[in-house]
Amino acid sequence: MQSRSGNEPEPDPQESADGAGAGERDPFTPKVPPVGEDEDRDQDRDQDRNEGEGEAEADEAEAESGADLAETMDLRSLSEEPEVKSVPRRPKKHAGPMSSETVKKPIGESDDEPDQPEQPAESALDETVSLEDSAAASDDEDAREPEPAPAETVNLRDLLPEESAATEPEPEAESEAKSEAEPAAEQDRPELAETVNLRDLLPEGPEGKSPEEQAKEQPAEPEPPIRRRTSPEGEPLRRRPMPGGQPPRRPGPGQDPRRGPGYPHAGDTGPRRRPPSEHAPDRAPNRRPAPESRPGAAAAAASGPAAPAAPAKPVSVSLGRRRLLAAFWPPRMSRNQAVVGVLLGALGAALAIQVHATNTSDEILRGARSDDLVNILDEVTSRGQSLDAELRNLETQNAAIQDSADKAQAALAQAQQKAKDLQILAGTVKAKGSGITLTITDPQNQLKSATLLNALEELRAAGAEVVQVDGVRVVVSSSFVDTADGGIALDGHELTQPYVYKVIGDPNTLGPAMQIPGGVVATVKSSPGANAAITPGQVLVDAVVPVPNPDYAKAG
Amino acid sequence: MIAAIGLVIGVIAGVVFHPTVPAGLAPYLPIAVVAALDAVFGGVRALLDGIFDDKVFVVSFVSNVLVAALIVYLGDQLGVGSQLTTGVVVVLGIRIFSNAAAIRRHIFHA
Repeated sequence: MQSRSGNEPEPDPQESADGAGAGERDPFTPKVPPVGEDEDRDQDRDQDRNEGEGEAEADEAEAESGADLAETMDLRSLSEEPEVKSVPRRPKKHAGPMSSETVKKPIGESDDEPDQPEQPAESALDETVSLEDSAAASDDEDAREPEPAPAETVNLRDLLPEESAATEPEPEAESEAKSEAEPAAEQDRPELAETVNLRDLLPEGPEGKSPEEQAKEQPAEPEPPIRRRTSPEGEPLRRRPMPGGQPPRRPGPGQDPRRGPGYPHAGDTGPRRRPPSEHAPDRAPNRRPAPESRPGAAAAAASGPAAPAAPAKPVSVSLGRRRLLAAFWPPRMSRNQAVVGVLLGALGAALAIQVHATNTSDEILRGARSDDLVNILDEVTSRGQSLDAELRNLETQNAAIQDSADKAQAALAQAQQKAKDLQILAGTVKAKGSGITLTITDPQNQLKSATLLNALEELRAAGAEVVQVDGVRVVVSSSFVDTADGGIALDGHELTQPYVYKVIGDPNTLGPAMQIPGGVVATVKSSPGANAAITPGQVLVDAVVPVPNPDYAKAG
Repeated sequence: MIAAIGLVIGVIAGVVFHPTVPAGLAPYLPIAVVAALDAVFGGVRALLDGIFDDKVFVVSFVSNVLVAALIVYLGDQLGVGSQLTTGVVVVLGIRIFSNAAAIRRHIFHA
């Protein structure tokens, strides 16, 4: 309602033009599309417009939400000239004193049969509406407010056209009639008066909400009309009385000589509605029963076209929420509801199935189209190829590393072997192997160290690898020394008789090397009492020399 | 109310049974779901506008779904299936957004 009054100034010319169009077209009702379609188109158009026009969309949404769709239509007709032809229907639908009717119509009227007879009545309604609009657009108030008054006002209005047919002052007469009817309604609602006062304080801004909410609550409880409006599938019967009741009005325009010709002119209805909106402020105090439309109308009158749809917002809020609640709570079981429920159930199931399918990978492939499958196959193939290449690369690396590891092991083994050899040569580890044992006895103690040294050198020359004399390991630095008491010392150890050489080497070389003429054995035997015996066999050299730890020398 | 219950039941049924979609229809299911969502949002908006009509809703729901699936099918036949699917989804997404905006304005007044 607010939206209507708020928007009025702008769409006026259009609206009136539409009204005119309706007046002209009504006789040819066949032109009017079936109501269902119309409704559909409305939705679609809304959406389309939303897509196209940001600002217009907002305004319209607000305006529509005001529940006064007649106004919306006007806006639309402004924004979309080509659609004007469908517009005339709109005001008809929603302009009726009870907009609940208009909402219900789609269902019942979709058959078109009852529709056509009704059209004229509606057009009559339309006309009266424009008149009523001029009288401050109380239709919606009637529908909205819990007045017992509506019936009265309707009757009054029905009478009015005839009166006005005779005389100009029609708007005043109507407004008087209303002012009569509405005070009566006001008595029923003292609270509304309060609301009104609040409203006067906060006429326009969204802050005006709180009064509106009050207003919303008040009508909601006592007032069946709103329910009816929000529940489209309400009993279709209700609507019948109205068309029936309206025909009396129909003659109005016919009888009215001024109106009949006047309609086609846009200027005609325009001026008619104007005066009331100017009067509006005057009546405002006693008009309070329609709190929502009031401030809007006042604002419209005051600020003219500039008055925005702002006041419509709060209404839309309350209306929208109320509609939602109404649609939800009193659960209504009807065939239509059931069909909608089944459809939504199908939607839910499809949603769940699709979500589940999307989350399961093979289901994706199952549902994919061939293009996608080819793409996926390509992807998988190329990925496999790249993985193959990577595998080969890694295998090569592995082989190389294994190679180097083998080499390292071989080198290590070699080094260890060499270390062992060197240890044996250095005399730091025990050694065993085939060889000979050379035993030199010298009971008269005549042998000198030179003889023993000669024997050792002969052995080395014959290929002795490891030599030990009387438990002392012979190494490169070993030396035989004649001691002062006539004995012989090896590396500081006093040797005792018999001198036993344990020698590891080739026994077949070592033995003959000792016994050659002029050799060790011959030399020893040349001394009186001395003897040398050679025993080939396995020899264990168990004497070792301590490992010297070099303090300064490092491996180069 | 019935509609909301139907939606819940449908979701539960889909989750519990998750029946297998015939392979031929599988590509059209997602687009049909989006189209149906668009219809549902439009219906809610119409409800808030006070112009909701069961019949209109049912017709628009079914026709939305069918037309969306048909467009995608045609696209598949013409070899531009994925592009058309994208286009349809974009259009429906825009509609859903605008309807959601209108609903939001109705309910939250913002």
